[in-house]
Amino acid sequence: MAYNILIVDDSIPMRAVIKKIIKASGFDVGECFEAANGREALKVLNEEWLDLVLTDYNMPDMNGLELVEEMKRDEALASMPVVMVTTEGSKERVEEFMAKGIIGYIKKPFTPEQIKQKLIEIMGETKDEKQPFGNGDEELDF
Amino acid sequence: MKNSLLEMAMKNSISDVLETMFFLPLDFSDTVAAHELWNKGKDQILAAKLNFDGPLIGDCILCIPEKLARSITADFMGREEEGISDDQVKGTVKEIINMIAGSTFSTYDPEATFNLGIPELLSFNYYFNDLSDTGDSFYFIIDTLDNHLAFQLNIRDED
Repeated sequence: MAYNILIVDDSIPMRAVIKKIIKASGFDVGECFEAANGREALKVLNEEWLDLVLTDYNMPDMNGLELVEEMKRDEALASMPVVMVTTEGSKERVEEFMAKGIIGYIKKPFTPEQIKQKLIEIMGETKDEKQPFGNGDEELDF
Repeated sequence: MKNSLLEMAMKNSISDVLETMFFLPLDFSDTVAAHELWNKGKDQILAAKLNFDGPLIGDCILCIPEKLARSITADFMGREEEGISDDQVKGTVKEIINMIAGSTFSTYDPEATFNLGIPELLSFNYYFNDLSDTGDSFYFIIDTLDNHLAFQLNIRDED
């Protein structure tokens, strides 16, 4: 099954890097959509079929936690898995994220391997587990 | 006010962010003023600012030559410098200050919650004469490759 993923971050380079890591990590990824804040993300979520959301916390207009709250209020989006990818690292803030129903947390700065491990926990193993970074068609030059 | 724990958290975070995410070899210089680092009229310097509040209130400032920021952005995104837009360069600079600030505070006090503002780019000239290690400020010069960055954290009294 190919996973459609939404990456939400106000940083264009960060979205590009996360996308690149995901695609190079050997997962069966269909479409990788992007949004610059929670409000844009909700628009994509209402228009596209998605399997996973990776979102930053600190964004203008609508932050990652507000996005999760909006998703939980929407029956169609409430069960969508969300992973927070953020610089926020305090114990209290992470507990707040988890209490709102996110299924994972990745702290910036991260390594490609940390992203991959978190995705394995959520999506299962990669297409080809014998090749740690995919089928060799793409290079992980992060 | 000097706070060696905060200073150590800042240094560790600067190293962690720049080395882990941007593969940037770095060293810390002895503290010097900004006017000794760059030629104000010649070098184009990008300055980013991020406000914070929580147990401490203040702001962070990151100053980085545009040339170095473009090179870092290209490496980060795995592209040639020629294909990097100004918006991508600015996005990288804002991401760097955001990560350094977040990492600094979570290292400094993992139990405390700091609220970080949205990074903004401002005129470097505004900061040029203010960058120094004075009062309730922590100021680091970071040497990397053949260039320098400056990072300053200013703590204000609660109003």
